[in-house]
Amino acid sequence: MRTRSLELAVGAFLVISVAALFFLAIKVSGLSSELSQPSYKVYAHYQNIGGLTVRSKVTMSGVTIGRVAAIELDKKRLNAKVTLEIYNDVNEISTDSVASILTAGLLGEKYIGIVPGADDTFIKNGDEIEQTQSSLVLEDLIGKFLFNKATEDKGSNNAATTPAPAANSQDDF
Amino acid sequence: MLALVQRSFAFLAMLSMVLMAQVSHAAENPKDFVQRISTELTTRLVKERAAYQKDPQLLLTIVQQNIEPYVDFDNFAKGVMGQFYRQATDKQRADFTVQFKQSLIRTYANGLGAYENQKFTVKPYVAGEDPKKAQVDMEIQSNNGVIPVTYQMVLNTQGQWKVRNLILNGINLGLTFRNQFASTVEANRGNLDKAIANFVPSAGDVKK
Repeated sequence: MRTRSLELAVGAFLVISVAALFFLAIKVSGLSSELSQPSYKVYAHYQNIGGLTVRSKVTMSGVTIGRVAAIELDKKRLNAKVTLEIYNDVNEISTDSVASILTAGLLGEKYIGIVPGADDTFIKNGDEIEQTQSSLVLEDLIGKFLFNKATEDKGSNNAATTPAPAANSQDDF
Repeated sequence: MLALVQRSFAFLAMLSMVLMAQVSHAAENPKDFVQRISTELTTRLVKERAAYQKDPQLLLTIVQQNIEPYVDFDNFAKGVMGQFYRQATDKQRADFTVQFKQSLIRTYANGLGAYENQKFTVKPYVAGEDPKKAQVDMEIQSNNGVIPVTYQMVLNTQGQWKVRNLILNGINLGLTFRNQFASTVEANRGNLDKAIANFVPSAGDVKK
């Protein structure tokens, strides 16, 4: 039985469900929350950005404080120039802070973590974060690890071990 | 009259040349600086190898004498303290600098103990935008391949370069130590004095 009202109801339901899906997509991607936040631009240069992409998050102590706005090649210095957009309410990042490219999880997406420093001056719009830590390339690490394994077996001393960039926690007992 | 003018002109020319010579002496080329300090250290290591293998204390002394005048430990330590620097008292800051300097020299000496006259090449220097800051790259030839080292230096008020940070094998050492110190403070429940006493910087990677 196909009455006018039935078809109208089905149509309305479809429109509402599509709109709901669209709303869900926006929420999950976080697009709406960023579009509304005013932010200032800061630059950083890296030797290797790894898999960092535009719109990767910028965090401090794990809390998102901004997004990567642009990535381009600095033709003069021949390294990567990354433009970070940091929310305006996070305005006390000292000038000697370090912006390092980290991996979410073991093999996850890349993001930028800012570790605050000791200076009394803070970075403003248009400033450059001078201290950076480039992304660690997985192949380099594997290569070094394999090299060390091979030379260890040959009995070579004090081979350069795989660097441990993660912090070591010290127990005081 | 003409002779007087000529005389004074000659005097002024000589004076300006002397002054310019003084000015150009003030800032050494960063590449030359790195080359010089590395060569001094390695020459000494090779020469006194037999002596310090018998007496490890001598190695510490050698490293200290060749590192102390060229590294800005105060600011390096300040960077490693990071956000805790502001909360720290002057005494804590001084204590930390002393402790940090000793641990660093010890770690560096441990690594250099294995030094077997590996060759190193200092790459050509590319000036950045700030004339008071310089970054010099170096490559050390070791059995495992090439180890890239980057020195980040700052020109002090006396016109001498001082090393502020080291990037070894792509690892920013200042950042590594800063993270380690922060987690040491966390492990000591925010007690700065305990953290300073217990802090052991570990580079995880041994520089040959």
